[in-house]
Amino acid sequence: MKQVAEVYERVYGEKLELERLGSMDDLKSKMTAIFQEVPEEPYQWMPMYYL
Amino acid sequence: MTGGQKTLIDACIDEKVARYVASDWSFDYRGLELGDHPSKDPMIHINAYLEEKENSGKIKAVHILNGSFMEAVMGPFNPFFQPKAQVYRYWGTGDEPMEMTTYADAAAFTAEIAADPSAVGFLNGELSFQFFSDYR
Repeated sequence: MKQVAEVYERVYGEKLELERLGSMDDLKSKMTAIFQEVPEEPYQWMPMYYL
Repeated sequence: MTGGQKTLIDACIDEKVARYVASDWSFDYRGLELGDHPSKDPMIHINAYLEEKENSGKIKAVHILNGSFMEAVMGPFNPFFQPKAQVYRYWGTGDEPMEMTTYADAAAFTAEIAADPSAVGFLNGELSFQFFSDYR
């Protein structure tokens, strides 16, 4: 992510602010909870599984 | 996803097709347990099915592991990447590698793999993100 932000700034001349939302364990807990809550809405949980 | 692919694999075996390109085009999921990544559960089953068929010499499997699709994880599919708001929200340290390939490149790799009879097994590659900015 940091590398993406650096490249984005270099290419587009705009700063991309990085906002940390938690640890990888926090991500796993969140994505698992949302999947269990709304398995029939993949766009609610699927993107997090690819981060 | 699972039943349909098994049917296709069986049909390929019946027609003596040499290689089967599995419906992967994703990251390396082989370390996952069922339920770890619900979208990948079907491919865990398919990989096991292909291994069984490969071990009995019926067909060779090809798994294209291009990571995620760049247009997806750097686009609207990923609500945490918000270039218009100039913010990128993330978890972890921010130094974790993210595997991705563009749709066009994944298609080009697939065509090259399909035309190369020696291309079998789990296939992936790796370049740093800096490579792409230097190429611009």
